[in-house]
Amino acid sequence: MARELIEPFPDLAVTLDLHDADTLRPGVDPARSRALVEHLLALPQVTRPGKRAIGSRQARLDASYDSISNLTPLATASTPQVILTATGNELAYEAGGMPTDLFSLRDTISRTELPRRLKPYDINFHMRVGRERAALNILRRLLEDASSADLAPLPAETYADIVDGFFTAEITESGVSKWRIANRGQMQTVRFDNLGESAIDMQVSRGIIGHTRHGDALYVALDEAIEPVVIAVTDAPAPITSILDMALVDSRWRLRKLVRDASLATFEAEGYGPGDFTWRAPAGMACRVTARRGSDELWAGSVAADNDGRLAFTVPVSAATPLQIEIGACKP
Amino acid sequence: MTRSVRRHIIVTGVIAIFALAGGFLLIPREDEYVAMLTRDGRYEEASRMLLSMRRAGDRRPQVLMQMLVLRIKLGDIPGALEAVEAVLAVQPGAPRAQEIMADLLLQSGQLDEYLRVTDRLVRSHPDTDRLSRLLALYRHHGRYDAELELLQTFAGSRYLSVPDYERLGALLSARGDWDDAKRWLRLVDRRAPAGETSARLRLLHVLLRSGRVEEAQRLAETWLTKWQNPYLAGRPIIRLAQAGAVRSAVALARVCAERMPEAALQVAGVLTESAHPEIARELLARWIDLVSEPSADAAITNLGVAQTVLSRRS
Repeated sequence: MARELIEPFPDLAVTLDLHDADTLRPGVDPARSRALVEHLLALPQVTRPGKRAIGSRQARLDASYDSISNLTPLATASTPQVILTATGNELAYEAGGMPTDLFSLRDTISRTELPRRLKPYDINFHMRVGRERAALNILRRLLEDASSADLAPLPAETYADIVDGFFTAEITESGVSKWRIANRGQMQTVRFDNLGESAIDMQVSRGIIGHTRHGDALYVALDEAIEPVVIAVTDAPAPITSILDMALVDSRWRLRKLVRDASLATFEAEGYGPGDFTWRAPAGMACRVTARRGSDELWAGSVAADNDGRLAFTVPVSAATPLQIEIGACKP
Repeated sequence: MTRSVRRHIIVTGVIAIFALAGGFLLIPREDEYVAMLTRDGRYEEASRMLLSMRRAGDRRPQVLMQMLVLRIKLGDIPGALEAVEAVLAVQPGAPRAQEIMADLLLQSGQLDEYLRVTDRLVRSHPDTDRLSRLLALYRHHGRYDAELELLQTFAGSRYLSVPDYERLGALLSARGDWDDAKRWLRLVDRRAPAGETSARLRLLHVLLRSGRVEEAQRLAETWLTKWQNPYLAGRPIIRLAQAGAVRSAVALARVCAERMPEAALQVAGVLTESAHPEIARELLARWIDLVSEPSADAAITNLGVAQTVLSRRS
């Protein structure tokens, strides 16, 4: 299981929820189990869950369970609150009676993403799934899909923090087409539905890293270093003329502490896999991108925005430990 | 060479030939070997062997079916769909293969295709559970035309349940097809448990819409006794009154007083609340005729209702 579902996917965040009893089961060699656990926990993409309890229930939205009422809420209403995984584990697919039932998870993943994101891309399973070849192969294919998808992988602990932020966030209207969001914790994405042709007003907004349209919705990425943030929407967005107006379109890593000035944009980044970024920038603008951790320069390269103003680049280093990125020396 | 030595050589030769033949027969055939590999969980090897058999021109249904089983065991949905299509190409209409195909389509989220294959399967190999599931899916997805068509196809067969006939009646009445709706709702009336009300009230509606007031009244009279519920008893009376059949409504109210004297005051209350005090009055009049001395408990309990009725009368 580890060899097929964890080790081949260093670009995906894996959270291993282990209990002592898992290594002391009858028929399981404790020494061998402990060695496997230690091996897995040594992998950079593997983390343990945090202090928050995370549970899994049947959560499906597929051709057999064709209603969003079959999805679970973000967390239980009980005390203590248990954060619920976005999708069910393999047990949710056992009732069908065919080894291939788990394939429906792919349907749930795509239907909870479009036309608007209801749940994150989540694959969770028990170790025992390795005994079933069909389930193993299906999960491996789903993980391969996840590896090549535009995702920002997160450990389960961060997801639990985001859910907490959802419950504490306070959204107040602070003007015409303007909202103030406070106490959001780690919740750094806001979705606008049915916004039509309107766009984010970057001049008036505060604490926004970027925004992108996906399906029917507009997603806004917030800077966790700014509290509170202000999101303003306009029908006539200002054109992007300099590095000061740059806005993130998408990123595989999480970004924070974005500072833009006339000649330089800097931010902190953390994540899994290669650092794929796309920014909205002045068309044709060429810049120098540098990745540093402390005083160590990890990578540097020259990048240029295309004619549509898309400045795309990949930082080919590990960001499991946060690093700083600078975009500067830009020329029109 | 002596005769005994020659005999010995011949016997040895015969034994050797039998041993060779036996040994040859004991060598597993290819499909036996595939079965052994499958049993041992060596699905990839078994699959490769089957593939080479297929490439060599082996199109026997059992080989194709074994390929399908292996693709499923390997969790390979596209491969399994390809394999099941190959099975159906040599055995069109094989129910098990169609069933597997439907399941695979459902698992891969191809709902339209799943419904198409299942519909075909249900029609060729009817089965109560399968039919019921398909009808539920059509209903769930708002495909009422397909649902109605399927219900009509199986109407009169043993595969439909009483709720299915009620649904058929409801779909037909929604389209104003009163004659067919009547036909199937009458069947429900005959077969449904005595306490069933929704289909019977629908039948009442259909009968009134098709001008069959007498039949509606007659059936409602039989239902009153079975229901023994003031609210439900009031419904057919109100429905008759709303349809303009006031005389029938009054007649039914009087029957109600006769058959449900304990609940008469409550039914009168229901009628009064529904803006039919004149019918409530007729019911009470009949009730007073029949029950010269109502019990003190009933009188006290229903005093409020009676007062309401009387105030409306004045």
